[in-house]
Amino acid sequence: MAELILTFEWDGKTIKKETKGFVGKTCMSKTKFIEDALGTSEDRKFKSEYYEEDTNKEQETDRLKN
Amino acid sequence: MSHFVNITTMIKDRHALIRALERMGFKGKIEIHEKPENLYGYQNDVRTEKAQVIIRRKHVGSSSNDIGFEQKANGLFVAHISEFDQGTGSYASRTGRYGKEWQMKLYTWYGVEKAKCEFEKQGMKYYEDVDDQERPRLRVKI
Repeated sequence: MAELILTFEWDGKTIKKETKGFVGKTCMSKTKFIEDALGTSEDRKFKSEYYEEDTNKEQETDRLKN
Repeated sequence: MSHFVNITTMIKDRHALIRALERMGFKGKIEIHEKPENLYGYQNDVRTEKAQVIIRRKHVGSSSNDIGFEQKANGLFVAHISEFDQGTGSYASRTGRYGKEWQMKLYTWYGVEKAKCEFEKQGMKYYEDVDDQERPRLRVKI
């Protein structure tokens, strides 16, 4: 199961959002709601997993083709 | 793992603001109004500022003024805190209990409470703790 971790800085402004266990771009779509609710997002850094293919999605597409 | 992002907090949600103020010790001491109400000074004088979320001066401290949070047309809440209570301007020589440090803490707790409100709305279970630097942290399985 994937995990979302929010760490709140005591400067009162900055919240660090980290996602774990997501493959591909699903981390963005499944956790965007929290960014929208909290404020404005900046300084986004993608981890290597973001650029990996979502194999589940590919398999699903293949099944639909067949 | 897939990405990190920094989010800048903006206070827009009244319910989360109230939860944050309660965490800062004002549980049962917060007035909530649909329309902005007058704020009063330490001599019971009506101030020019109005607010929808108010902590009356008797709960703020000795010789203090009301503290208010006014929601502007853009939805953002603006804090009305006197110079005396902040320890700024002509009162810069005294340590105001409700200065920058207090306000930063409030924004931090607002972020925590706003995130919790959103998780509750989505039916998500969260776990709250602090990290190794004593910063509040929320974890959610998705």
